[in-house]
Amino acid sequence: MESAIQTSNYFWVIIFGYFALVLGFGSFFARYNKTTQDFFFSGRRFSWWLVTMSIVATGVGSHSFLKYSAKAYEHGFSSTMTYMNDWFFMPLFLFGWLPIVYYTKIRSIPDYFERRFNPGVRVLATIAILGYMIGYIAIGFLTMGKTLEPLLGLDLYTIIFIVAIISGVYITFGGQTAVIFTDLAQGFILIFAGILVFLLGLNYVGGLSVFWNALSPEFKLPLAHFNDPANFNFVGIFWQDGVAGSVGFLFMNQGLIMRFMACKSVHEGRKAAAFNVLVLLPISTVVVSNAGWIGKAISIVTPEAWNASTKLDHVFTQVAYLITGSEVVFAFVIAAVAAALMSTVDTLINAVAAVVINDVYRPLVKNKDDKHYLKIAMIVSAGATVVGAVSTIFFNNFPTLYEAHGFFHSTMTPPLVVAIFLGIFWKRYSTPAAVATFLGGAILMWIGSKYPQIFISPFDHGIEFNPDRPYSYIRALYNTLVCAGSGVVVGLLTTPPSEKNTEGLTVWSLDKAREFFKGSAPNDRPGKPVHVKWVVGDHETDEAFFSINDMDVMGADEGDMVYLSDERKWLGGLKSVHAVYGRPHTEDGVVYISNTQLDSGRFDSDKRLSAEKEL
Amino acid sequence: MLDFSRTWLPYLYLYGAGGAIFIIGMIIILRARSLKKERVRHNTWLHVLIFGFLYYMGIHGVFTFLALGEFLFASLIILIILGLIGNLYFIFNKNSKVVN
Repeated sequence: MESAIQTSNYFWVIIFGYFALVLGFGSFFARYNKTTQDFFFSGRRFSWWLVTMSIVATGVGSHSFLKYSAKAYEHGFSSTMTYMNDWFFMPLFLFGWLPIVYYTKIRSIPDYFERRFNPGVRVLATIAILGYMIGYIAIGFLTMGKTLEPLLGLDLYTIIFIVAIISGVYITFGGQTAVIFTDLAQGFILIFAGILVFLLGLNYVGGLSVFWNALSPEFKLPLAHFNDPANFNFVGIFWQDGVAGSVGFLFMNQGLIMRFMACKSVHEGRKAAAFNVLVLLPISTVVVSNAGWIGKAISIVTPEAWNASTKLDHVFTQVAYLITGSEVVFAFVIAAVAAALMSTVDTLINAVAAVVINDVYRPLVKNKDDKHYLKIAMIVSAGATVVGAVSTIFFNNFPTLYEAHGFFHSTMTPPLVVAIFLGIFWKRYSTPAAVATFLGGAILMWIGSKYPQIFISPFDHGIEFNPDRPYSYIRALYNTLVCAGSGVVVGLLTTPPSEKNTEGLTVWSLDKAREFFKGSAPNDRPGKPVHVKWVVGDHETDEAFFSINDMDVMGADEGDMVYLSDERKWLGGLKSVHAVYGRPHTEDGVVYISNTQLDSGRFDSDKRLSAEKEL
Repeated sequence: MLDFSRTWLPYLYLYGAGGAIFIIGMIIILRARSLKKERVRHNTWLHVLIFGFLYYMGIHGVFTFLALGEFLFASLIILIILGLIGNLYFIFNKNSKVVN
């Protein structure tokens, strides 16, 4: 196959240099994996800023650059809608789902379903979530293949094969710590590359005012037309993305949940989530969309430079090639798209391994030591990569990537999202009600897809019926309502679960979840962090011993939980450990830790520690 | 064609339906005492949550006015957002050292 865009050795040096860097990162941080807890959750040690940057790289998939650039070129600034409608669910996430998953120490989302309901519901949830994630991995690989196909002149499946091997290697050996640190770097690369494209694009068209004045008022509106056209309208996208998509991403994305569980505390998790939505999502939406806006401006200001026959899915590549004016910069931008793919896929592969180990393998093969499960987790990571790559054959049958993606959002998300939501916030929600949500909801969704003019049209908000792709977005409203309706009706007709069985598992009993996490009543007395010198004591318990005065400053009592970390904040908690306050001594500014804690925390002898009470 | 369905109806629907979801969420977490106003950190979070809603409402408002060429209204909203950010910064500064 002939390469559409000619490239020289510089291009390949940068691309391969980038991949080598990624592999090196994964291998370096693999040494921090000692247990499955480290492999999946990084020992719950990281600061919010490290986690939030890595979330950017997970949220911005490679499909984002292609998909949103295409929509931005076609419909203007309203391409930002999907990134700018996530705040509505933040109260329920920050003070509902996040503390529940953190404090109950669930290993996976299906694990929550077993605790809240029974093993049968766990199986339903496992099937739903694995199907969802494997599909996402496949779409990620397929996108990468399609992006690079015209550029490299290689066969689609050869590209997928190469990318899958590279992704598989570092996630298999690196685990969650590798994912977080690799994604941290990739998050910065993504944002930098996207902003670079925007600035170079503005320069190309003649500056900000030329850019702004070239675009029509309609193009510049931040929200789409209410219900027209059928393939891009506000109300459909609100229900499909703003509601089903946002809740799906925040509440049922196992990969994202694992990121938050890698935070050193719930408070840090909240900070990571809030900063992400308030600051990084608005930046990210510009990063993934701006090539489309620039492309439109170029087509108006310098139409002779723009290839009018450019396919929508190629807008990003076309704009990047036009405006960079240098092969080196162009290679960097393409490497950023590769970063987007790697960082989305690596998270999902790690998440699939977590679900398979914790929800399928552990229940079947019990009483093995942790090293055994860690080894199996690595094998499953490699297997998930292979299955994802092979599944691209199925998804390549969809007419466009956008439709393949839409298929997932509209069919896989609603039952799981509704079950999580009702499970957390509705005390009456019983096991039969959860089963009804999955099975009854699925049946009604299928009926709706067979007879959309009868069942979905009452919810269409005036959107035109397109017989080829009926109600592609607004069907999410119907699907969500029938899943919720099935669950609510059965919930009202069956006996509610006892309070004891749901303790700590709903938002109404979070104090119990905190108590469960700590093992005793939480201590909410205000306090402040202290900086101390560490000394290895002769104890081998999980206790750390502070002075009476230091504990007083921290507002801590014996038996409370403490988080100790290297005082260098820029390490983001990489060198840190959780402990329990032991009997206090009288040496102010000194903490006695055990050899195990020293080994786990990897503390440097000449560096002091920062200590703060957790609970 | 810049009719009401293209300009302000999506905005009103977004912050009407989305606002209802947000308010229900706030009521649930306050009634469940998952967010306890008397805890210093939680009190800060209460402010952050309300700020976030107004912040997004403001951003969408600013860009709608800018697209329509109403620069005065856009500037006023930008000033309000800056005021809200200043207020939040003040609250953060006051409460940031306390672990509770």
